[in-house]
Parts: sequence; C-alpha cells; structure tokens
Amino acid sequence: MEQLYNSKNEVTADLSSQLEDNIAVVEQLFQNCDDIVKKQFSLNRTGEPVSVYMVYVDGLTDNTMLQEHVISPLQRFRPEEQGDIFQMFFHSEIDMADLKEETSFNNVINSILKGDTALFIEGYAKVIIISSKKLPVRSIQESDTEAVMRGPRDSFNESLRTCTALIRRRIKDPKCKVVQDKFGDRSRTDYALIYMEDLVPDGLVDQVKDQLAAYETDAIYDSGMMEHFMNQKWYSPFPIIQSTERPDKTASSILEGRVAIVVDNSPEVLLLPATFNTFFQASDDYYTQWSVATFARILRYIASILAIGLPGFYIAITSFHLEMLPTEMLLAIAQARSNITFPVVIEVLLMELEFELLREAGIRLPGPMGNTIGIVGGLIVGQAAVEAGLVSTIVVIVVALAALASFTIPNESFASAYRLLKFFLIIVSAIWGLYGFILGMLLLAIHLSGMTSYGVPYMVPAVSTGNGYYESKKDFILRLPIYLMKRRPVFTKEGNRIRMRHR
Amino acid sequence: MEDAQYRISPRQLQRMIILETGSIGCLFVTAWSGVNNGILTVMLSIIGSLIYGGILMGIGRTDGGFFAITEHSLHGFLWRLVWIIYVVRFAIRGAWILSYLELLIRETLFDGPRLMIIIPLLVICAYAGMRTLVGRARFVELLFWWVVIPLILLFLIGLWKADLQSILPQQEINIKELLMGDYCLMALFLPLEFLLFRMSALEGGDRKVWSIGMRGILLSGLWLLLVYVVTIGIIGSGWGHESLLGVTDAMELISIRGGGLERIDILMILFWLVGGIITLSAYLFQGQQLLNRIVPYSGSISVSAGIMTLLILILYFCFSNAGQWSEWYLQYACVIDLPLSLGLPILIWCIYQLRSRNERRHRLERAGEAQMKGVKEF
Repeated sequence: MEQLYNSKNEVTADLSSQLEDNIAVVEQLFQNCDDIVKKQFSLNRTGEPVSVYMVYVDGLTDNTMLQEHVISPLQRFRPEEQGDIFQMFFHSEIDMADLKEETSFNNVINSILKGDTALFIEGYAKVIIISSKKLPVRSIQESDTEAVMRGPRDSFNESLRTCTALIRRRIKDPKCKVVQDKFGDRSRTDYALIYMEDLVPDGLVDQVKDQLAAYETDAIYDSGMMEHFMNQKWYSPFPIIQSTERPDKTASSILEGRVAIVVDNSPEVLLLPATFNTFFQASDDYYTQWSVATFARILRYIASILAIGLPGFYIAITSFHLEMLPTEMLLAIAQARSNITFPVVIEVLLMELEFELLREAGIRLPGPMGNTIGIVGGLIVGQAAVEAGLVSTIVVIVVALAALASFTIPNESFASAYRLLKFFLIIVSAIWGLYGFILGMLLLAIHLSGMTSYGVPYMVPAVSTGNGYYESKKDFILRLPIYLMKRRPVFTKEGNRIRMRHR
Repeated sequence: MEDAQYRISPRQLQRMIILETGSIGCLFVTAWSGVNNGILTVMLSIIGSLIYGGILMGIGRTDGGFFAITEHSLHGFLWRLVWIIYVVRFAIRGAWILSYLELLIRETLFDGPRLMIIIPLLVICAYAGMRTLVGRARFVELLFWWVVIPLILLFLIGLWKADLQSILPQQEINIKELLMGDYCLMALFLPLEFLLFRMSALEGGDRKVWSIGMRGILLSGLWLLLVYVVTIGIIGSGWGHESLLGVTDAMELISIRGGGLERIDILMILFWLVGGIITLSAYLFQGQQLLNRIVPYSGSISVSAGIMTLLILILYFCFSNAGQWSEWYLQYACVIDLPLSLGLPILIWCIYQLRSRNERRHRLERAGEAQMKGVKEF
C-alpha cells in the first residue's frame, strides 16, 4: 500500500492503457471505502465491446445527472465508423459540458474525492473526469454574526463554488481573478485567492502564495486555521487579517485592492491587508445616510475605549483616586459598597468571569436555551450576587456596559482582542491605579503603532502610510457621503486610486 | 542617507518636535525662567530656540545627514567617540527626566516604592525605543492629539483664571539677568538636538521641510509660553519659581464648571505623563540608534535599547531625589550640555566642509594634470 504514495501523500501509480491494471490500483487505493462506487461495464454490444470503469463517491455526486447524461448516452453508444473511442466519448457521447481529460492518477483520485466521476476506458492511459458534484451544503442564509439593518442579507456558506459565485455576481469584471489551489496533504482543501488584477499591489498575491506554500500540514477545516499559518505576529492579540461572512463586504474589499481568500468548508472569507479602521466598518455604514453612519462609527470608537478601559478605570479611581470623584458620587459608591467584603478588583473579576461563562455557555447551548441563559444570567444571577453582598450594583453596571460596548464592534475576532486586553488593564490598574492604567494604554498604543498588515501600517489613516503619504480620512471616524470618496484606499496599487468621476 | 522605506514626513517631524520639546520643557519653564523677568526670558528663549533649531536643521540636512558627515570626516575611533559622547549625554538627560517623572507620579498618582514606579516606566520607554525611525514617528503621530488637546484646552481655560498683571516684569529689566535666564531656558530646548539625526530621513523638498520644522519649534515655544503665563498667573512667580511641581500645582487650581470630576488635574497629569514618556523614549531611541552604529549588533535593536535603559537606570541612582537632579542638571546643561549641543555639530560640520573642499581641490588638480598630460602626449 505504501508504495502507492510518496512522502507528500500523493499517488505515485501511473495510468495504464490496460483497464485491469487501473482497476487493480483503484481497488487497492479504495480498499475498505464502502462509500466509493466502482462500476465496470461493457458498451457497444453489437460491435466491438468497449470496457469502461466508472468510479465516484456516493453522497458527493449527482446520481440522477450521471444516469441521464452519462450512463444512458453511453449505453446507447453505437459508433457508425471506426475511430478514437475516447474522443467520441469526450466530444459527443457524454452529454455534459464540464469534462476534463486527465493523465495523472493522483489528479484522478483527487477529482473523485472532490465529487467528480472518473471514467476509465479500456485501451487508454487517460481518464475522462466528469463534473458531477452535488455536495451536501447549507443553503444561502442570513449571517448571524454580521447582521445589518439595511443591505443584502445573503452570506457565504461552506461551498467554495457558491462563495465564488456570490462574489462573481457582484463583480462582473474579467480582471477579477480567481486562482485556486489546495492546502493540506490529506484534506486537500480547496481555496481560492480572489483579487483585481489591476488594483492589487504588486507582490501581494505572490507573498500570500509563498506564505501558504511554506507549510505542509495534514488538514485545515476552516479559514481560521489558514489565518494562523499566515499570521506573522503570533504574540499580538490584534488580527492583521479580517474575516467576513458577507459577500458585499468581500466584493467591496476586492475592489479596493485587497485579496480575498475563500476556503472550502468554511463560511468565513479572509480579507487582507486589514487595518485597525477596517474592523470598525460595518456594511450598512454604506447603505444608510452618511450622518447616521458617522454617528454609528463614532459610537463604535467610543465603545471600543469603554470596552477595554472602563473596568480598569473604575478600579483605578475607586481604589487609588477617590479624591477625583464629586462628593455625591463618592457617597453613592460608598453606600453601594457598604456591604461588600471583597476589594473592588475581586468584585470586577468575579463579574467579568461570570459574564465570560455566560457568553461561552450561550454559544454552546442550542437556540432557545441559549437565550434563556442570557436572561437567567443577566437578571437573576447578577441580582442575586448583589443581594448576597458579593458585588455592588455599580460594578454590575460597569461590567455590563463594557460588555455591551464590546458587542458594538462589528468584527468578532477583533472584539475578542478587547476581551482579553480588558483583563490586562484590570490587573495593572489594580496594582498601580491610574498610573498603571495609562501605562497599559500606552503599551497598546506603542504596539498598535508598530504593527503592519502586509506592508500597510495598522493605524492608517491616523498615521502616515509611509514616505510622507497620508491616507484620506473620509472613511475613518467620519463616514462622509459616498460621492466624496473618489479615491480608493491605501490598499490599492499606486496609480489606480481614482474610482469615481463626476460626469 | 536613510533607506527610502525609513523616511518620515515633515508632519511627523513637526509633531515629534512639539511633543519631545514641549512635554518636559513646559514642566520646568516656570522654575527655570527666573522670578522677575520670566515672560521676557521665555519669549527670548523662543527666539533662541528658532536660531538653535535652525542651525541644527541646517547641519542635519547637509549632504547625507549628520551620521554621514560625521563618519565621513572623522577617523573610525573619533566618530565612535562622538557617538559615545552623545549616548552619555542622552542618558544623563534621560535619567534627569526619569527622576522628575518619578517625583510627579509619586506626588499625584502612585505613592509606592521607587522601583515600582520607575521599572514599569522604563520598560514602556524601552519598548517604545525599540523601533525604527518610521515606527517611532508613527507612535508619536498617533498620540499627538491625545496629549496636546487636553493640555492646551486646560490651559486655555486656565487663562480666564490667571492674573495677567502678575506676569508682567515687576522691576527694572536687567539685561544680564535676562540673558542668563534665557540661556538657562535654552536647556529646555535641548531635545531639538534630535533634528541632527532626523533631517536626512525626511521626505519632501527643503523649503517644505524647513517651514514645517521651524513651525514645530515655534509651536512648542508658544506652548511653553502659554503654560508659563497660566501657571504664573494662577500661583504667582514666587511659588512658580521655587516649586518643581509649580505647573501641576497650578493645574490643581483650574476647575471646569458644571461638575464631573472633582480633580481634573490628575487626568491632565496622565496626559502629561504620556508626553514625558514620549520624550524619555526619544532619548532611549536615539541612544539605541547610536549604540547600533558604534557596535553593530546585526540588527538587534532590543540589545541596544536594553543597554541604553540600563545606562539611564544607573545614572538615575546618582542622586537620591528629583530636586538634587534638577539642581545639578541645570548647572550641567548650562556649562557643558548646551555648549556641546551646538559646538560639536558645528565643529564636525566645519571639518566636513574643509575636507570636502580639499577633496574637491585635489580632484580638480588631478583632473587638470590628466588633461595636461593628454595635451602633451598629443
């Protein structure tokens, strides 16, 4: 068995013109694979019989289509003159448009495992690959994680082809390239790099390809795993690659010169490069009034500061700098904390822990129960904790506000960074008060200002893109009217920045 | 010349000038400006800083930059010695700033053990110093408005509370005292020395670079003036001159109507602390760059930054408190640091010009001889 494979898990056997040899190899490869259908039959009974051997995966192929457009026409095969049987099958007998001629056994096996049908013909050391995929896949649904008030509601699913079709539907330009390859020696997961040939910066696509080619692994099951192979700074909690389930967001990113990576079996598409600002952009920012969108954007930026800093700031003020508070507030806090035995930092950590547990439990539990947990946790457990004297009401408000604020960030993986860093700020604030708080924030600022995503500074447009160039701020904290955004952003190749003209 | 990918914009330079000069300078302006002629001293020092900065910008912009002209005109040992002098001077300034920040933090934010205050501060500054010039420029650019807006706003609000009469000179103007005070205040503009090392990395034409650079120096000077006016106007020149924390004391007395926080000054001190860290990390950054030139560590910025941090820490312990440090530093700055900051670059520039002229003359002579030889042969 081992001699059939090389070190890269590729089939090394060669196709033979003797059908029996090919059958022997297939039987050996697919030994103990009861979902593989292997059928040998003879055609052209009145004339010289032609032996053929058909192989496909049950469950991945469209059996009805095979019967109607392949098997039935072949069974009616009665050639009127002598000729190349293979070419007759390929060009006229098989009633399908998507046919391929294959001479590599490895590629034949890969095609079978992807859902295609392989047709071996006696006397030919080549195989006809018939596209007969009918993969079990979820229908196109609305996105759960990126819901919008206004705008298209379709989202990606686990089928690579459906995803690329949703993008093609929005970009009907032949310069939109879809370059496919495989990742994973055993899973052979298909992925596609999608980009605009004239807009993508020079070298970016090659850089991505090189990054992906640098690793050999058994399998990947989601685009998130692929992201890990591409992440250059593993120690940073901030992602440099954006992920989305929305085709409209993907299409607009591609038209800005970014590269989209669609991975089979994953509904999340990767977009790169990504900057700090891109994670605050939601799709419906561009479908609603500019003033409403601007308000939402400002709210998100404020919320991001609250999400990361509010608990730590509260601890710093109440533990070290009570003199900053007005007298009335001081008395209110003192009253609220009069029965509490724990220090402020323990209160906050307890509530944060409770909230994180609720969040994780809510994800794992099925639909109706997940909603119930939110109500149970929020109202009952929180209230019970206050009445038991474990935490004060003010801490509940602070933690809840920080949690709500983190949900306003459109991108979940980016918001997760805030969840983690919040604890860091809580700790340093508990130790050093406001001094620790500001040092923690400064550390983040230093880290963020030094980050780049595929050559683009992470904090653009707040900082220079390099060599003295400054990105326009028309789509930053303020989202100005669309007709003012005449230039593509910094991701686009130099010289192709103009995207809009007034006639 | 810096590699093209390490070029910074004039705007970034301007912001670095303002923050690195103004952040710490503002905190000392009342203490060092003299009791009687303070406002005139500050105004004169602004003029002085423009001249000082202009000279440094001119030298820094010469043929490839200060690094290039120094290493070209001096022997290997000599230019390394020059960089060592700069490293030590920057480390001394860093230690002085560290001592002051420690005092500021202890008095207003966190009264804890000395090491518990300075170690995290140094770690952050070291991390900020472990960058390329472009990375540093982005960092300062990002934080610029966060530091400047709250502080400028606070002091503009404080203008309403300030007694502007007390700012005017009360006695006859003594020219000698005025000039001495001006000279002392020039020590606050010593961070402009970084211009020597940054001018060659600037993107843009000479005219734009000059105008933005001078504007940055002027704006940092005006910031000092604003802080001086408001501080002295609120607490008086006696208190302002005697107290090392005069500016922060004045901030405590500025309140914003409408409630909110009882003490806004603590928040303002946080922003000022950010400015101080930017200045301290600037010395760390520049020292790290120079150390890498003295002994290249194959690109290991973190090792050089670590050495510079250690140097600052060791020097910091030379004096037991910020008061002693400030007293000593003012004398050192006036007698040694300021003269060196201008004298050394001018000397190197002169040597470079002489050598260049000689080289040009030799080239012309050789070209002439070659021509004569050619004519004779013909």
